Amino acid sequence: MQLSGISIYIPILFFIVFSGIVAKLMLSLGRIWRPQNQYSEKTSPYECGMEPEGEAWERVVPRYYIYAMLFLAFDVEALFLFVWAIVFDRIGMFAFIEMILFIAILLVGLFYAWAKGALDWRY
Amino acid sequence: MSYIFFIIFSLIAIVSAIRVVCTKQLVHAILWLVVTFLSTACLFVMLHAEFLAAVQVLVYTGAIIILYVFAIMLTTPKEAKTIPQFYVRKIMPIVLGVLFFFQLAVMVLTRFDFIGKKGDLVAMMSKWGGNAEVLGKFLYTDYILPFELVSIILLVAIIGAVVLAIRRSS
Amino acid sequence: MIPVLIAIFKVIVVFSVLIGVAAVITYMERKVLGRMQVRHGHMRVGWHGILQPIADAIKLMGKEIIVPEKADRKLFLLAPVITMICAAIPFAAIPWGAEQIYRIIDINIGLIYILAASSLGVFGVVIAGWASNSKYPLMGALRGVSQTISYELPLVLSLVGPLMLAGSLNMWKMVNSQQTGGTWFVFLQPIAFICFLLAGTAETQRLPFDMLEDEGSLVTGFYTEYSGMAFSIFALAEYINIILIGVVAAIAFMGGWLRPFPSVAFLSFLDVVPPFIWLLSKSLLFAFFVIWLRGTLPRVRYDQLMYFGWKVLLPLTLLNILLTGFYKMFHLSGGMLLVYYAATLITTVICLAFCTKRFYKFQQA
Repeated sequence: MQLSGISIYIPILFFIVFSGIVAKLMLSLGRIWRPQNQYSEKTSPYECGMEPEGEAWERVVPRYYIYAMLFLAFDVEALFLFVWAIVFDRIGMFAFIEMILFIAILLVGLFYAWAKGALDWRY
Repeated sequence: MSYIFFIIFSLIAIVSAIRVVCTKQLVHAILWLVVTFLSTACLFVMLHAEFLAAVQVLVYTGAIIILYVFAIMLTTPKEAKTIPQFYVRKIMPIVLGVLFFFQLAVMVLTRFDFIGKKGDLVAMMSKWGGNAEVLGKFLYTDYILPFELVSIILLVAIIGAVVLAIRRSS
Repeated sequence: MIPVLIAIFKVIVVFSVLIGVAAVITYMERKVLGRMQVRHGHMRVGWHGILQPIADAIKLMGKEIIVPEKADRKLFLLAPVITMICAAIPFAAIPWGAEQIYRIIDINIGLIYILAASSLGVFGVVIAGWASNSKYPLMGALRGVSQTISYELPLVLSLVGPLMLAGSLNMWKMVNSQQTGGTWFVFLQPIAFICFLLAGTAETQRLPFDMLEDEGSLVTGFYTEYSGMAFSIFALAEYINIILIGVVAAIAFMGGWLRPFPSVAFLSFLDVVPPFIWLLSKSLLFAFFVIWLRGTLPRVRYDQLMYFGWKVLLPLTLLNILLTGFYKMFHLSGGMLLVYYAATLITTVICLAFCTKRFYKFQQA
């Protein structure tokens, strides 16, 4: 007595719906007895008690961007590694050597970024 | 049953894709793009391509969207806050989009059997134990050259990002 | 229809257990931290303060939820819901025991599903930080996203080692191969285990790596503007993430739902304890480890965090993959196995010594 075919994924939908409902309930259940008294001092953005100054949506340093770019490259590598890890001993030495090559080429990229100082966080 | 789900997910994908183009806030556009990617992942699951769906979620929503978020944070706030609703002035994106659509259509219509026969895959899957295993078997024996080329492409991407970021910050 | 009802029942049970265990961890955290600082912790509500989580929940429900005036109101209220959903969905692929009844969905790529689903959690942080339209949340969110993606790599790559030994992405088969192999993978994969624990601590944003809620410089980071129940949903999701990392660590490295020493026959009386209790208690071990770290270590700086993730953990996990490949390719046994163990241990010690030395230099600079 179990789900089969494509419908085995239906419990994921249940998870999404159920946790969403619970979170929504947690947010709105207290509305019955909690106070609702908002005025502009209370709803202004928190800046340690000072008057909020300027806009929050400002430019940030490009350093975050390079970490995201490196992450993208290594994330793709990780996915290839996942597929490789489950079949490599059935294919044999050939697969092992080609993965050593693959990792080595990407390590060149990592060490290049390392040597150029792209991985150092400067303030 | 699965037909209903197919229609639901493809409707979600199309509607959110339209919202990506039409919304004014860039961050909202990105979040709609996440919805598009996730419903595409659901469509992959329905085609029994679970591994591809996971790749879609991990790489596209996990990494590329984050890249977009940081890229938006790099721009000035005035640019980032609002964008004109339609780039009517710029004809190039429309031309490119139409061309790309025709390319896809021609590919699908002329080479309809590029996914292979269904029976082969089922036999392979029962022999190797699953979707990801079959993918790995092909990737690391028959398609070894594309696989190694991927590493070169990733290396180029890393070096390009490093060069750009170093020049920008200095 | 009946399978669907069973599935709904399982989902509800698992989700309720998750929330209950998260409450237990909040209690445990305060008590353990108290004992580490030679205090009692809370003692008022119930026996040894055991009803404190419930009292907290009731208190937080009565608190006003303040939406900042400049905030993007819809997204602001959506962020906690998304965080909660993303914390809960990875548990769909966790098997809680060997039998069919303990599994919710049994997919062949369970591990990748769990990683993909948990990587979505970063959007809760992005949305919360951006929708607040306030400076501290935005900075906290940017830092948090950057940290999460940096430590996701070692987390993912350290799981490749156990995968190579198990030969399958199926969570159930991973535990099964530990049962037939007669040993937990932690004894074959010490580097991967250490890397997984450290990366998991950073991934759940706990001290010493909690840069996105660094109260010294960012107030409370990305949920500065949240109050009441909206705030507590973020906290709850954090504890559920700790359970998730603990459960994945248990399944990949510590034999999942198996009792300790699964191949020793005379310990079989331990099988009286149901399998999900073993899995949960192994997960709570990780929770204890995280609390222990919080009680012991000071917070790292952001540059140290990035240094540690990219220059220590990432090469270490790649090295581990190569070592495991050699182990598996050449079928090491006897003397060569000893050499393998020695190489593993020496590299671990060298890397840890190297990074503590660099850390010490950082502290002086």
